[in-house]
Amino acid sequence: MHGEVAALHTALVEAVVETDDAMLEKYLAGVEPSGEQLIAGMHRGMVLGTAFPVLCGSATRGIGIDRLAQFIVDFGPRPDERPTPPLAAGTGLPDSGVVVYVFKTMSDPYVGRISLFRVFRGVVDVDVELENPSRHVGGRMHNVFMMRGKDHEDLKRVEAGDIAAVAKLESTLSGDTLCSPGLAVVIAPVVLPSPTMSLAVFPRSQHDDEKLSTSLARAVEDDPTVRVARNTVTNETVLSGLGDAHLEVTVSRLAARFGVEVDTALPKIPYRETIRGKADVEGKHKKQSGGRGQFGVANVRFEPAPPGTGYEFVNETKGGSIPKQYLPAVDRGVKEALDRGILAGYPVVDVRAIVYDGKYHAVDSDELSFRMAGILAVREAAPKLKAALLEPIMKVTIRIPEELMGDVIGDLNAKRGRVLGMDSDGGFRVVSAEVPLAEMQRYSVDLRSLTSGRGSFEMQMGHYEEAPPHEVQKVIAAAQSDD
Amino acid sequence: MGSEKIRNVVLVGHSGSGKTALAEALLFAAGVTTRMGRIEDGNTVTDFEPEERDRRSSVSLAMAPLTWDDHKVNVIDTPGVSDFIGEVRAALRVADLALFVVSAVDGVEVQTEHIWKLAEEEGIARAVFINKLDRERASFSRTLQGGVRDPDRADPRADRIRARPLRGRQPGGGTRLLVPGWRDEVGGGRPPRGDARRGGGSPYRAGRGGGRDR
Repeated sequence: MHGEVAALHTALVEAVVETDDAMLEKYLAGVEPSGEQLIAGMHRGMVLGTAFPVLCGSATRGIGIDRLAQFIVDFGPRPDERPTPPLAAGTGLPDSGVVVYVFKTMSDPYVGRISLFRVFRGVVDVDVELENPSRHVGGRMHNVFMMRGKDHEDLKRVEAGDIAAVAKLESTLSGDTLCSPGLAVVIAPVVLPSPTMSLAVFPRSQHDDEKLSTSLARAVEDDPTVRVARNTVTNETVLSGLGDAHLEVTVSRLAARFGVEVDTALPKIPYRETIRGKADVEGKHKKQSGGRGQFGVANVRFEPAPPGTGYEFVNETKGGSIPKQYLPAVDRGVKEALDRGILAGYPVVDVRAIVYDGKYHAVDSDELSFRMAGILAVREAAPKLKAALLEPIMKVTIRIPEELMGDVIGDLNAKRGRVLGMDSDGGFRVVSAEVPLAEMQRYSVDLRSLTSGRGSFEMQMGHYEEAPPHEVQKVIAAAQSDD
Repeated sequence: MGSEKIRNVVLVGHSGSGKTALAEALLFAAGVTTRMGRIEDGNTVTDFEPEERDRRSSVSLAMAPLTWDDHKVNVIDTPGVSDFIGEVRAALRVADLALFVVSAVDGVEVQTEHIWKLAEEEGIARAVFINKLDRERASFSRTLQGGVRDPDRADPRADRIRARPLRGRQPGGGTRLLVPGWRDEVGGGRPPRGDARRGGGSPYRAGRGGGRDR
């Protein structure tokens, strides 16, 4: 036992001595370094990132905790030994003045916004005026305190390197820098991963509806990994985050902090429709049986337009077969009907509508009549247009341990994905692929179970592509059951 | 208290490795609290949000400052669930030491490895606390080797964070367990496969160290 300990002790000393040439030289000459020198050597190794001490114990039984605390004090780096974080603006941390970095904000129902910050330069005295150069607002450090869990302890001053909290900096968000007026130093905010999962949120009551957008805005401010967007196509408010647990917590915070109750569901997929066929139809709106009559006829040809065109309206009428002032009404009617979809209720894109003839009535024709004529033209044309469903295809980058590649690729194939390329990164493989959004909505959960949490991915909108027939059937069935 | 007497330590690691419990133990040891809260009871200092109590798992970073040996130690507890990695990144930005809490039962897990790289990117010092050594099936040396519980499952991490385990005496008396040399020899490239202790070129590396399992 003693022999083993001695051998290990020697190894430990040698490991430390290695971090410093002068110490190594002396050691090789037979001079044992002192305890202080060894601590200093280990400390240096830690700061340089070449030594990683390992301690052990049990937190719940309080074993090894005193030693850990003493280790932190004796061996741990001082604040000024930390590498300066990268700057987004300014040339370097100034020698004088104050620079603090806000790393976290939270909303307290009583205190308002609380900002946790670390002092990177100078000393923060209570009531000092700082400014936030990226948001062009001031910040008075009036209510400064130390936080421990949820408890506050007022402070008069915060030393360089220390961490504290300040209340009521409403416009300062996490990742912001506050500095002495005129310094204009901005520490680059930490890079955050982009959202991997989204849920649509629906307010439960009128009251919840009214407060939803402000409370969501607040939630996003306090957690920069959360995003909120309004999808104008599907008409949903979509909350995005880093996984199901993250979204669950965000939703439960909405209820707890802001009293806003919401239901959630996977967001509707913003499908689109397009046409593959042509049609030449007459849209006729006629209502002349008593009372003020309505009359309008529009002859419209529909044809596919190149991808990306969206909707195009062309007027080829001659000789005023439809009076000029009614043409916009026809346009509006056609657009309206196309937006309501002809297959499964999704907007029709990449279509050209050419109005080439029509009829009007000197008394009975009005804007409404021609709008209806436009709508009826679409309805008339619909069966002949060979409508197709376009689905959003996501660009996906997946990072997985090499040995799990087979599983992940297999899963991508099952998800109708197309693998575009593969790269190595250490023991990891980076797969880039194109996968329909419909298959990716719960991918953060799928990938986690597939790789026991060791895979990660990012995705962004790619393009639209025609969905295969069996998918179209599913979407149509879903649309019909919605009605 | 002057700047040189401040230590900013962030507790990081995989979910369930015991970070919140360790913050609780440190606060208790420093006399800040008079009794230790328990995760199961929902009464720990750093898991104070209702969501954290319900889930019995941290979802936000939280501060646990304490005084030890005339130094102010700002302990930051962070969530281990990967969904809340944003909180970990924020905390790493303001810490000077990342203390990786690793369960001696479960070994080095995914988030441990992931955050190890993030800490490296931030350029801050790293140390390891192997926790839960009181538990059944706990193993110090297996954890140090980066192994996993199931010996039949080849673990690709074993040769990624290369361990050169030493169990030694704290210089200057006492018998503190202090094991330097979680050598991160991974660098940018891929490390060679095989026993981490073999090779490396240093004369004392071969055949030494590696506390045996009981």
